Amino acid sequence: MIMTKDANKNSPPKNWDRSGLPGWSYHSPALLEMEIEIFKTHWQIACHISDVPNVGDFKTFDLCGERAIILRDSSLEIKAFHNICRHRGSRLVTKDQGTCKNALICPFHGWVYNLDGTLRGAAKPDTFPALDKDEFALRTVEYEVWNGFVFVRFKQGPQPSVKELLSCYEEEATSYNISNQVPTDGFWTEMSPVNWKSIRDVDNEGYHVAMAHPGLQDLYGSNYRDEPYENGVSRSEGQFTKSKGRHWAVRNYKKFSKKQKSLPESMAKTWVYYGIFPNSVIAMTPETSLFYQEFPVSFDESIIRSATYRYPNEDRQQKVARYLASRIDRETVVEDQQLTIWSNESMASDSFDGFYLSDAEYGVRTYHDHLRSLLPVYNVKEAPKENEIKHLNASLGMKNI
Amino acid sequence: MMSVKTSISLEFKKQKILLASKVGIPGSGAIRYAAAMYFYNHGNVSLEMLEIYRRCCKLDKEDPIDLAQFEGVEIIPNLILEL
Repeated sequence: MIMTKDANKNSPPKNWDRSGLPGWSYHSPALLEMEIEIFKTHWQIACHISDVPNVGDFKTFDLCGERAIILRDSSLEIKAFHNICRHRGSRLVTKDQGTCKNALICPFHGWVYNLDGTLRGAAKPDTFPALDKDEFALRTVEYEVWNGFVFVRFKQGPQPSVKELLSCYEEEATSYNISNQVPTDGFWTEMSPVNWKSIRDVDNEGYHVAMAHPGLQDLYGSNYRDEPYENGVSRSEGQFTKSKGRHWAVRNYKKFSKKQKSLPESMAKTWVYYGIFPNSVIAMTPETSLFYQEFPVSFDESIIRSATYRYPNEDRQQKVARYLASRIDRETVVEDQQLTIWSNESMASDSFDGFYLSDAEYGVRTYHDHLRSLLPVYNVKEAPKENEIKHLNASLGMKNI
Repeated sequence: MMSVKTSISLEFKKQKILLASKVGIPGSGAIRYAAAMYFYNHGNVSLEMLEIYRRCCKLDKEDPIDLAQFEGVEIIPNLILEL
């Protein structure tokens, strides 16, 4: 049996505080400025190594004003650079994904960079003094590959390495052999008219599944389990129920779902989710792996970004199962988007007293506790004046994030 | 292990092929300009010719040698005339 975290820790303590974050924190531009620092100082999933398989292949990743290029260099090593020319700061690559066959060329003035990031030369080089190729090299972004997923971090932060952060799931994730998977249908992004925390609040609990997700309920229903957030990670799983399934997609998915040989029998009929603080989830099914994440654009608008990967050697049956799984998942996403809108709008109402969470929503509380530990101003119940939030937070003992 | 001299020689050959990328292929203008920068660094392409390649960087269908001849850019090294 694959070991993850201690299952006994999953139950909430007696008399736990069932409240959520204060409503004002979902509508505060000043707070968002501080939250953005959390995003920049924590690991983010940029892509999978299979998104950049060949020399010169790149994938870009933009986050809260920062932008990275994940690139496969001439020796087939992964590199991560800021997508910023050292001359005037322009984007070097403007497409989301593509191939730089020879070098990276700034579209503004034409500075040229080698695939290892060193400067090949400035445009009109006679108008500059001699430029050192290393001194004017592209700035690197910290990155780490974990089971094929490329994580980046724009600023140093409190999290350990990704390997250490996700060590409790290492054995399980490795059994899925997801580092050898390949892309399915590219990246999916969508704008959502809500504060980013409303998306996470919905995703961090399975209490709503029976009410809001008839497909998922049909798939794994009462077998769904959430673990609380602990040390920046959480795990959820849904083991398929024994029923044949009433919905067409679920019925046929259960019929056709077929595990890879590497996967233990105990995981053959299970969907697993790893939550990674503050905004990412890696999910694995017998046929696929995927990640999804959300970023703030403003205090009331967010981007949701996702990509799915499959086994390169999948057979016809697995391909059918993957299609059916994506249908179930697609319906779930639409249903969740509506829930996030309802949850988010409640936070603007003077008549709503805030969350009163079920034991089945303990994951929401433990996630909020992670936020509170970084920004204690979340503990302030009444909305502070916008121009006082930063100072108030500092006075409450803000940690270095 | 490959010697530095061999490595440079291989890179020289590779960049020469890239400099000769067929006009009209999407992205070829950038490939040629990047290669021209490599040869400029090695003293095989003049400043004027490098600038011609820069102007053609986003114009995949524009032949830099045609443009150089049209504009009367005098210094076209043997390396380019061989292409």
